[in-house]
Amino acid sequence: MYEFLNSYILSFLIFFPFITGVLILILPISHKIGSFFAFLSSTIVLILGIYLFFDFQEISATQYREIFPVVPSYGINYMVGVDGVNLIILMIIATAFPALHLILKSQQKGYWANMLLMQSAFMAVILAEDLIFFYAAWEAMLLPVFLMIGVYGKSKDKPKAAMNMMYYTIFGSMFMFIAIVYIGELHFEQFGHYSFKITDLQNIVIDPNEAFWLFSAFMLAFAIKTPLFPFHMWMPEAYTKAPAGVTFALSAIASKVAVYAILRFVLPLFPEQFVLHSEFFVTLGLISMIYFGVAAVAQKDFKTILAYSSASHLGLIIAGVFALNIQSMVGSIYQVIAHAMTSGIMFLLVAKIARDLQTRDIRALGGLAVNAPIFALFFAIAMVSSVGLPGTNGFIGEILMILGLFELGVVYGFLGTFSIIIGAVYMFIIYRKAILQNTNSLTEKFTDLNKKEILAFLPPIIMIFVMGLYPKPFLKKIEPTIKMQYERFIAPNLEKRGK
Amino acid sequence: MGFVSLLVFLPFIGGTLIGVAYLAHLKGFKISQKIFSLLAIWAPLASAYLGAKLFLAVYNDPASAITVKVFQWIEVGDFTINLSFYVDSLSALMTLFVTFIAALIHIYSIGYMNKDEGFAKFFAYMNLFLGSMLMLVLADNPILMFMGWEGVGACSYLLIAFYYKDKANVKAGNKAFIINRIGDFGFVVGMLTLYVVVGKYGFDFASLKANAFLIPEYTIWFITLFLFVGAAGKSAQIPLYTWLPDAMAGPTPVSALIHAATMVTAGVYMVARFSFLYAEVPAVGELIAYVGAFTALVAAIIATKQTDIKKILAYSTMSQLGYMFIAVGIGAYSTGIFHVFTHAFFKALLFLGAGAVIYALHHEQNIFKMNNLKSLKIVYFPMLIATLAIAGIPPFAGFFSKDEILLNTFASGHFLIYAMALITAGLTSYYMFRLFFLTFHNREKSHAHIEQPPLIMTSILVILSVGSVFAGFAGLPEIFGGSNFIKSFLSHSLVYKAEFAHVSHSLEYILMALAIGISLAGIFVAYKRFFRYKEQSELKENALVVAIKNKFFVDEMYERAFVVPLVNTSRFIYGYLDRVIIYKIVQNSAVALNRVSHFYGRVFQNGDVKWYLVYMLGAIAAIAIYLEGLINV
Repeated sequence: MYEFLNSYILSFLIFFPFITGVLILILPISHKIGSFFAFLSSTIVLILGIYLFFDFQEISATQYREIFPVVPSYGINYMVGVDGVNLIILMIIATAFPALHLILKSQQKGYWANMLLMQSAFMAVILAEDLIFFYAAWEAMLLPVFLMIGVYGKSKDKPKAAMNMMYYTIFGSMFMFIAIVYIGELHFEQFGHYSFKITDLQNIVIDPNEAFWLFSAFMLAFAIKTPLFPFHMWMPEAYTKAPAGVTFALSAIASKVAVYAILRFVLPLFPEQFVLHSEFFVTLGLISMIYFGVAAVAQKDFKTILAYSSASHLGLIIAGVFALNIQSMVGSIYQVIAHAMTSGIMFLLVAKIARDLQTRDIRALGGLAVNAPIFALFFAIAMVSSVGLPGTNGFIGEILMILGLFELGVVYGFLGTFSIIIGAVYMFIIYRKAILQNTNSLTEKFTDLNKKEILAFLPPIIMIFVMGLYPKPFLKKIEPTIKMQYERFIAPNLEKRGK
Repeated sequence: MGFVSLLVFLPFIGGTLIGVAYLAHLKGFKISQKIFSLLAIWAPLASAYLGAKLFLAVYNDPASAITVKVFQWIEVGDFTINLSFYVDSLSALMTLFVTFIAALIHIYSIGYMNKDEGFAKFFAYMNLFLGSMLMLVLADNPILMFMGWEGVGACSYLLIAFYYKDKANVKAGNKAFIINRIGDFGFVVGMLTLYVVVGKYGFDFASLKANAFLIPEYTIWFITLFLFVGAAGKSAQIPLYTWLPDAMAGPTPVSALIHAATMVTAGVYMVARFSFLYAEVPAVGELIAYVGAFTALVAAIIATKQTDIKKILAYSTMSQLGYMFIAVGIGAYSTGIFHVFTHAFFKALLFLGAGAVIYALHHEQNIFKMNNLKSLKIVYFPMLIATLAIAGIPPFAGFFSKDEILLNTFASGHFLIYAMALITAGLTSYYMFRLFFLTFHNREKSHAHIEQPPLIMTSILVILSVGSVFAGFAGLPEIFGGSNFIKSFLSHSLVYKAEFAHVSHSLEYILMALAIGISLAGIFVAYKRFFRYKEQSELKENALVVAIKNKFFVDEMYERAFVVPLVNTSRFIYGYLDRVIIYKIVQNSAVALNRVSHFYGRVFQNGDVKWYLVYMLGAIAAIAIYLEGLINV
């Protein structure tokens, strides 16, 4: 049993939610029982995730690898594995979903079934080591999101938001798909057989000109998904119009998947291009950080502010990924976790506001802290982590990224440091307007979190401090992988950068 | 020395405990105020005891600096940061008076905050503040110092916005936090640049001091300038000072502890801590000295026309901080810290005295509307002592430290700064005695009922009065037969490079007489004008007076120059750039694509969502069939 579990644990994490989700949809069971089974399923995934986290060896190699040929003649495999970087993201996916059941009030089994399909797709995307499988999972990720915005979204123009998001992301991934096929073809030319295993594809030699186009095709897909300026048009609408669970998943997980995919696929496949164009993407990331941060300042919709805030943070994370040193890359991954927690908490708390008061307009809010001190406290803790207060996990990621940017160049570091001002500005303004100040006739009936909700929020709230004060266990898991990637893909190309 | 970590962590534990207890209290698990009081003060008292113990240990052996490592905090690549504490004469002295004054103010607050519905919340924040302040002071490296630095900022925000139902209070809190963040921008830029240059050889203060010679001079310029931006934000220096007067929205003990005695002096402490860098670049120091002098003077001018007792004290704090920056700017680091030390006593006393006055008069803060409070002797005499101390009248505490600053400024040859500081001294004694006379002497008879402050408050006033009288003797200068203990004690931690001309004893007496004379003149003018003043406001109004009353309209200028443009840019991005420009570009490209594939467009793009779903499912089915075909090959 133990060995069986160890060899198939990843497949279990991917397919168990999927099968449960499909069964819930097609079996004639009540909404209540369906939701319960969804909760049960995500709890089992969480338990396995925790097991995996502690069982994982702190080395750079990929572990728990499973390979199963799907289309042998074209070298298409089902291939999954865990290293220090996707382990962390796996943990986010595993922990996030059970808690949602305690917080979101949806009674629809379809809602929860779709959430399970989403979880399955997320797991598949981050565990994939075969490009075709990765692509399939990448697109599969979109379907439940699309359906949920369309079916469970609240606004009138939700179809437009859903379509916009589809168009944008499919547009990006279309080019990525072409690039994937092209790379597979290159492998065939050079080695005589097809393969889409990332481990094989690293060995092919790509002409720099071709590499540039292939690199760009991949980066386009990921820049849209993140989103980076100016590929973000779908983001404010989709985030704002989507039901709470989806906004949560988009911000806390889907955007991080893009960051992860850059490190997992783009860096090993196109190390030279990665290094060569790093400053372009650092600049784009910094522009995004400032652009979205400034855009957040004067927003009136609480959720739109958080959407822009999320995009602003991701801008800095992308800058960190491309800053060409270990500190900034580790910092980016660390910030991926920290931001998943903080933005997740904030989006869910805002979902409560919208549910209880039927509005997210901050002009109509105010004084929530009066009747809901624990709600206000939890929001404040997520907020200070989001603005990078030392002692919280947000600080560790931010300081490492900014340090890395300084090592890349003083100007980049200088611009990156603006993040500590801009985040504080919009966050503290909205906290004042929506949560502090005095109550009005609407907000005086706002109630505090109940016991179940407190229980659901407490683990990430505690983790914010644990990871801020004692980051070592997490850094130790991330660093070996990043260090290996740095030494293998970045360091040899630094000289060619001509500086 | 292991107890150093206990000294820092106890207030954090205390703050967390009382915070959790408060939440339980709110949720129906009622806890009495007595228990909250005990929870509130045990940690500060324990820290004060340990602070004294620490000081004694260092006092006996001031030359040795000790590092107490708790655990490794961050380690990525060569970036290794420990959570460890650095004990030398500088941090030991700071710890001594920070814990001492914090403990006193906690006790005082039990009386001041009596029956306030946020009683426990207040102490939770105050405890957390104390822990953060100690972390700032005892940090062994700049990153950990930054942790304390931000912690005190956050607690300051929480306490300014303490009565958060009032919009003005929360706005004041936000202003403090955001302006401090602008300062922190400088701190981070300076700190991380320092890391990039020499951090690999160790980023603790001892290693940095040893390796400072490796840093090119222009880099030191860059680092020290940006670090000073951080110091200016925290210590309310021009141009980042506008938050401090507004910060008086918090309860008065907060103003005493955070916005007078401890947190705002962190900038001075930081410059002294980095004296091994600042000593290398006298020109940057000169700039700091000018900023300090200018701040001291401007704040003193504004203070002369304010009517709110706490606002006057806030401007006086700013002005005194200016003095401290003059001192550290010209390279007289121990003199700056000496003034931090004496100022902590008399300024805490002034604020706590003001708190007692406000308490007695049922929240009246306008000094022109205050009754004849002479009869309240237990407040009157401590306030007189503190006012004399800040006015620089010997032998009270402020005299020795301020005089040392003036003397050193003169000896360093910065005569313009010296003149500004001297004028500020005159203004200081004028506006402080204006406050004093209007509060205690101006009416014949008291009209309203005076609420007697409880013993728990007044006893603290007495203790601080003793400090305000004697604290100056810790730096008794040579010409009075002293040995300037502070200077020799701190010399083990600080780096001196600045040159001070030798000043003969006779010249020193003359300068001293000049300073005292100017202070007395200020008192005399205040006496003439306000000792028997009867009106409800100041009568003279001309353009200059209006400008001073309105703080030279700096807040309004900042609003116009920074806040409004930021909001407008934000609206422009969301309303125009995002929704019009980029949207149109995207849409037009889509339309162009559509035209190219006109046929495709006509058949498939019929705008009906369900058809798109059909197409997509069709496409997926096609791929699936294709893949199946491949498998069968």
